[in-house]
Amino acid sequence: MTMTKTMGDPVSATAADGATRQTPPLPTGWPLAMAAAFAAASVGIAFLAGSSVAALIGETMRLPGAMLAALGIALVLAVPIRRALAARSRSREAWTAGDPVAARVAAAHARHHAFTAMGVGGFLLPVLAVATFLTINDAVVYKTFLRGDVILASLLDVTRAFGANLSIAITAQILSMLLGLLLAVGRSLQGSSFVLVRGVCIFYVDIFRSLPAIVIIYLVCFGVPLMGIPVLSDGDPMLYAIVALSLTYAAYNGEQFRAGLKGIHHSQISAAQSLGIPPGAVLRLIVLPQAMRRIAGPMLGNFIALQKDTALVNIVGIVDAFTQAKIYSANYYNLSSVTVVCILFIAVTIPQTRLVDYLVARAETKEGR
Amino acid sequence: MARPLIELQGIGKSYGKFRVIDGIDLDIARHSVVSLIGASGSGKSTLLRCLNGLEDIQQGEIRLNGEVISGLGIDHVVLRRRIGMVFQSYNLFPHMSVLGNCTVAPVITGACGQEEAEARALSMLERVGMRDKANAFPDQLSGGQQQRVAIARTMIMQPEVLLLDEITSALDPELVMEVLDLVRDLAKQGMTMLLTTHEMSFAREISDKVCFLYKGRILEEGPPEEVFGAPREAATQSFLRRVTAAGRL
Repeated sequence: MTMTKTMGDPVSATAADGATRQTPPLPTGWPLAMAAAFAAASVGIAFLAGSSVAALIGETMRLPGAMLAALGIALVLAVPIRRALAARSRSREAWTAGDPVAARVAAAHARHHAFTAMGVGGFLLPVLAVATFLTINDAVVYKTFLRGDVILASLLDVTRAFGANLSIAITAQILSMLLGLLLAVGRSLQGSSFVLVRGVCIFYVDIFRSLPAIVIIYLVCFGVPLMGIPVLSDGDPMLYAIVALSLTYAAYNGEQFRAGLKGIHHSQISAAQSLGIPPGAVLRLIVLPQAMRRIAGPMLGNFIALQKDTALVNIVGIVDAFTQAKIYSANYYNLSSVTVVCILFIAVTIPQTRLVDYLVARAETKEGR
Repeated sequence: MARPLIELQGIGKSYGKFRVIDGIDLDIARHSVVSLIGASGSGKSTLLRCLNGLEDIQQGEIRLNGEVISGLGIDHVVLRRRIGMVFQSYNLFPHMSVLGNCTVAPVITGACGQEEAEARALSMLERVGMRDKANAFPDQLSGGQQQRVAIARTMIMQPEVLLLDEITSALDPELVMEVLDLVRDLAKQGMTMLLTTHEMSFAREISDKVCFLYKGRILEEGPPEEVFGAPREAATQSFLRRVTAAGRL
């Protein structure tokens, strides 16, 4: 003999009059309405995009192209919408037939298909809008930014000049991390003896975080040679640019280090101290390695920002990728050489941002190792 | 009678207006085990942390083997090598292997070279039954295993006294015994220990002396049979009643 308990089942809870109340299926109306709206908008934009793409082949192709694109997109989006409609009517039938479980299942399917239609629409809308933008008016946008001959002509020189961006970025990153670490340690010194040191570190960070990098580059690169101090004023503009960016990013990296040091739980320090490990070694062996793992992601984020800011050195006449591209764009009266700069920055940045994501995820899931 | 290994005299400490420790006198004889019991906030953990200088005291004096080890000018870095401490939350270094956790302190303090430290670590890990996990990382170990490693890590420094701060409180119930067995072994080998615990039956079994802390004072102290069997103070009786009701005795 078996005993079944229905206790705690909210769906088949018994109502006051003894009848079992049934929870109705989730709504399918508004998801379907939104899916239809997305589909209509997508078909509309497809019509525009098809028209301007086809016009590149020939003006007479405009209407057939538009119709073809609209029809294609309509057919694609009709699939999930029809499935959603079918599931919705199945759900209603089941509900009236007194099968609430089947009704809920069918409604869930209907919602899934409606959301799929919305998702596909959400993808198509921006893609088709960009296609329209690039090809409209005889592809004027495309020809301004993506002219193949200009890209090919400038590619080698711009890529070579990009080496300046990379070497500025890498050198400045190393220098700014060292200075930043100094700032962070200085700011976390305890005790009344170090109140002035803490003050100086806070002051530095506050000042350099409030000043735009481009202003500091300008001041350092033009100011230092102007002062006429022996040795100091005889440097290379590249060197001044590296110093300017290092000073700026030391403030950001210093804050990152400080967050990392503060993020290590005090019990780790207690444990290390209780083993008789001296303070310097606690920082070097226990706190910093753990902090570095946690801040590797954000720190790399700062490095990416620094790489992009290297394009600012063009204001002081250093020939970096952007400066080189501007020379080409002036000669050809076309911006496709600057597109090369964009592609170069994207090519070095995207792998790094993926690495940042990975490092951040790892720091969140795995302690240590 | 021989001089106690540790003597606490009139220890007092406040956080602002809150008096955490309010005049504690306590002697710990060499090779003895002293347990501190009492409700949360009664000052047990703070007292342990004061003993190895993780917290400073405002009144009183602490002596280790007759030598004053409290007050300004104490080199805590050197002192802590003589007073080992194990924490409730194990506090293993997550970025180091079990072996690395055990060897970092002896090597950096110059107690011995890397090779000897590893040899000592392995034999200590053998004693706590963790030798086969020497190359594992803390996050691959259970709480009980981590705590056994933490004890080994502290014992390698060959401290004169061991402070155990609620070392089983963070453990799943089925893992408590493996850690308590280890502490029992250490006691048998004559290790001087001062511990705080919520495991009353363990405190009763292992201790030479039990102190009941109440509002920063030692309200009652004596052999475990007395404090647990026939508590004199009303506060002790009520604390033990509540602990018993919670099934911890």
